[in-house]
Amino acid sequence: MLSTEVVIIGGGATGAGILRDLSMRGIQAILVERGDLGCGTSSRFHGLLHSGARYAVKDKHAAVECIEENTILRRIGKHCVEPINSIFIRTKEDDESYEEKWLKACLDAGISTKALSLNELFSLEPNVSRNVQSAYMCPGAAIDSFRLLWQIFDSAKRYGGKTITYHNVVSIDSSSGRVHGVTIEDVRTHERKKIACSYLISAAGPWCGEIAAKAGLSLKVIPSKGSLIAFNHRICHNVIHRLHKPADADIFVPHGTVTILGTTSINSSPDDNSTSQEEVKSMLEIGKATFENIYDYRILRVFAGCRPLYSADENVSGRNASRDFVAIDHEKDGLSGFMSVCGGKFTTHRLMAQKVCDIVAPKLGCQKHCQTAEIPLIEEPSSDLINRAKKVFPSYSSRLCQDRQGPERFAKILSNIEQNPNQGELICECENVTKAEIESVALEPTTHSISDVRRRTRLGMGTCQGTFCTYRAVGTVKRLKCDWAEDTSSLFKEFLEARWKGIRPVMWGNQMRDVELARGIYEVSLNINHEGEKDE
Amino acid sequence: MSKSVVIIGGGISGLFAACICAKRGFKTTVLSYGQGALAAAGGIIDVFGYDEKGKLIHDPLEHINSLPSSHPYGKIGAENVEAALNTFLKLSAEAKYPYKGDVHKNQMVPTGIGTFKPTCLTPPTIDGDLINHADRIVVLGFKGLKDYFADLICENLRRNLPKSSCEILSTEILLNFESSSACRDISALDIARKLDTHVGYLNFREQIKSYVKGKTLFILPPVLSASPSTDLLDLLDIEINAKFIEVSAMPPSVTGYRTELMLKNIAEKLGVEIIEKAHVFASEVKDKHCSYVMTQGFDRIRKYSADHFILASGGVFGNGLVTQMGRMYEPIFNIEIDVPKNQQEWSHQYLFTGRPQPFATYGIETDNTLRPTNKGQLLLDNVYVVGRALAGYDFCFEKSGNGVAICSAYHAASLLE
Ligand SMILES: Cc1cc2nc3c(=O)[nH]c(=O)nc-3n(C[C@H](O)[C@H](O)[C@H](O)COP(=O)(O)OP(=O)(O)OC[C@H]3O[C@@H](n4cnc5c(N)ncnc54)[C@H](O)[C@@H]3O)c2cc1C
Ligand SMILES: Cc1cc2nc3c(=O)[nH]c(=O)nc-3n(C[C@H](O)[C@H](O)[C@H](O)COP(=O)(O)OP(=O)(O)OC[C@H]3O[C@@H](n4cnc5c(N)ncnc54)[C@H](O)[C@@H]3O)c2cc1C
Repeated sequence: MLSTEVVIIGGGATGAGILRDLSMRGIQAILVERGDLGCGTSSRFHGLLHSGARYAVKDKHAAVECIEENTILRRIGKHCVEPINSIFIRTKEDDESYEEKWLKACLDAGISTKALSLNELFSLEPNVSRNVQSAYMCPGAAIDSFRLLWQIFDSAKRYGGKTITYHNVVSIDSSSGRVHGVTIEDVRTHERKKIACSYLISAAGPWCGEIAAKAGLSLKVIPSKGSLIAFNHRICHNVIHRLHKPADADIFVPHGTVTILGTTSINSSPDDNSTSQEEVKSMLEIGKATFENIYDYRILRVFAGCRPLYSADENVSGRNASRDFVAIDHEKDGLSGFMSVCGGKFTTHRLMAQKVCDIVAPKLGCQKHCQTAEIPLIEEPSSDLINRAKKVFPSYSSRLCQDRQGPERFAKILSNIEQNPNQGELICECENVTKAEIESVALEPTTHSISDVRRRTRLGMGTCQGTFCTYRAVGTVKRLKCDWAEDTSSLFKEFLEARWKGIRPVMWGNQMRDVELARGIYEVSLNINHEGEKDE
Repeated sequence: MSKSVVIIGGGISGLFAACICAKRGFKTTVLSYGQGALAAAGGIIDVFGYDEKGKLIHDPLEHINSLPSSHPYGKIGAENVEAALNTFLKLSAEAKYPYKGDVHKNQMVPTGIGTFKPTCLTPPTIDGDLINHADRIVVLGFKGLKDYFADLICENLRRNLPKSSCEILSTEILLNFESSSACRDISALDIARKLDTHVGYLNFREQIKSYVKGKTLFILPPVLSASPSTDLLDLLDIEINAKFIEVSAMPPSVTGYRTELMLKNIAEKLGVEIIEKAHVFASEVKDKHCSYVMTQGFDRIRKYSADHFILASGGVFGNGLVTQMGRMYEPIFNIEIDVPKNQQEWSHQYLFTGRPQPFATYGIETDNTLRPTNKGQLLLDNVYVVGRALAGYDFCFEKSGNGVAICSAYHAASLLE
């Protein structure tokens, strides 16, 4: 039987942060995730590294945490952060009196606000509505969640932290009021295993309620669903916020080659990540105040995630529930050795982990302090490596690969291409992913599908949404003879269906042309639907 | 003076309609803008591959007989379908790029992933029958060709041809291209152009010669010439005594490109005027009768009048139909397509579900003469709709794209008076 000091349930930002923190303190820990790392809320989110300005008026405490963590993450996770700014604009529709309150609150929280003249604004952001009355620049930024998560796990691994993915925690084992382990089930083979532990931390986000129930406890988590729209291009260079009381569809975050508009807030169930036409319609209508030509921009896809909002009060919901996080020691419920951590934000995951570990570590006899804020997640690649890479990587893919893969994998990918230039071929042109990078990720033990490859490389996340690169990705991974890549037809379907899910609700205009092309290629030319024998 | 036809769209349906119109003595003009689906699709003519349950159909013509009149084939009628396809076979033979096939029989042709797909008429480079007569199959790849995986095809062929006793292997050969790996990717079209040169051909022949043992069939990407001609095939047949079959593969489609060239050559020989870069943006219609359409080229707006018009502007892919949230319309004659307001109803939850997708069947409703109607009422009396723009069929699911295009083009062109 596996055994460890701490088991963590959930491979999102919260769980990842806790695993790294415990590992750095020298505490043995295993994290169990039922899907791929980051497949929950931590990737179905807006990707905004908050400056705190959005929360300044209502919740100074949260605002201060955000700006502090923002500064830390820009330092320790620099390869995951696009170092841009947030611009808050007040349009004619927004309450003028809020502006003053907001400026004062930001000052109090230590968040810088630089006033921009309209001329400055329009030269920075030419697409923004001419209805803007005033604009300020704050230190918000865009953050790549998959990249950050993967780098946190890599870092934790260096300190001995372990992760088990594609395993569901099916039961919590306890006796005489004390947790002593969990039972996990392999989601593919349904094989069950036990892990013994001295302490259990549930960081299952919106599923925290379900996990607590497995131990016979009740925990009120309000899963509040938010939808997001991804546009085909960068319509802004910086994050654009409306300067008003936080509301729906008032933030645009540019990410790499796309821009994401969000969000909404609807009470739902944690597994619900559906989106409706009504939501898209209403978000576009609100978004119009920020970008007048919003209806001309091509939508790539829509997606949704569930916020894990904790409430001690049964009657609170959605935007009114606190965005703060809670760590509940279930000893108060009569079960010791078990803590649930939920709520909070992606931006503040590190701080949440620190607070949790400050409580848990002493219980396990460890007096070490948190070091997660000081030590960068990955090391910088050497200048020699960078210079060699510039010679062989196509276009600007060397920098992207470096940021995505970290120095060790990057070095391996580079020497692969140096030895065989064909390995530098771009499989995904939209996101600049080379064959060597795909192969490196496909061979990782945590990879079980092309979607897993996507989460670590951004394969298929650009304009073509997989239309051209799926074929190449399948051809490439088949060659590696991985155990998960046996059946060609399933490989195609798994990836194309996952892409389809986000396209389906917005299938009009150019997106529909693309669907026809994709069906023409995969259904007609390659006939993936009928992998039968020649003579039926 | 002979009567005139203006055809909007230069895809397979527009070009084939033009050939038939010209043959029938009409003064024929094709207004064409942009590339048709042939540039991405294969030059193989699917007629009907799978029924609505996804079951393989052996005799496409027989199946067409059973289709309702909501399906384009139901309107065209099996007799006309047969005549259309036979006319296509005949024209291609006259153009020395003879298509092969039988309207009563589907052939199974290999794909770029080593599966087989049913199709009806095939160009000379894709003769599905050859698979049955080979002792040895060599799946040939080209180093540096991105969208092709010889080993993947080989592996799946072995699985999909279990009863066959023939030996199946794969290999890659190297042709030298000036554009090294640092430059542009190499596509099948680049290789096809290379093989059209004498040096390229010799290089190719020498590299594959040693693989020929017994009845050898090479399976390869669509590279056997960039033009609609069998010269290369014939030469290889004589010089190394082997057979070749091209797979249906990723865009750009060399086989589609050849078919387009073939049809353009035939049309031009028949006196059709093909005007490229002519974007039709509006029409003049009075009392359901169209008198002219207007184009916007790079110079100025022009009017084209005619006795008849054939709308061959394709579906959403060709921009013949335009969609917005909850709306689809045809932009030249402003025909609104009756589609659900709620996008949810446009499609199934999964893309590959084993049944036709609703959105794929959205298109222009017509009567049996292919003239547009709205709830049974004729909208235009001298405009005929052909090809992908027609409602009532999912070409991807049933495998019928080029078949419907050719048969509807033939039907419309034959109806003109
Ligand atoms: C629409 C939206 C937009 C947002 N935008 C932002 C933003 O811009 N900036 C920001 O800072 N924050 C944002 N947030 C908040 C942020 O995304 C979340 O607070 C954060 O991602 C939560 O991380 P987590 O690790 O707690 O939960 P999750 O990421 O959901 O992780 C929980 C994990 O537990 C796993 N799990 C569940 N049950 C089991 C089981 N039985 N066994 C094993 N594993 C299990 C799940 O698969 C999941 O991966 C947004 C949230 C939403 C919904
Ligand atoms: C990837 C793919 C693979 C396919 N594979 C096969 C296959 O293997 N076998 C098969 O049988 N079918 C296949 N098909 C289907 C088949 O290609 C199409 O159904 C067929 O080509 C449609 O022909 P069309 O002439 O109606 O339309 P298109 O080929 O779309 O032609 C329409 C033409 O009209 C032009 N046009 C549009 N609007 C205007 C305007 N306003 N003014 C002037 N010109 C205009 C367009 O630019 C275009 O050139 C495939 C399709 C795709 C997308």
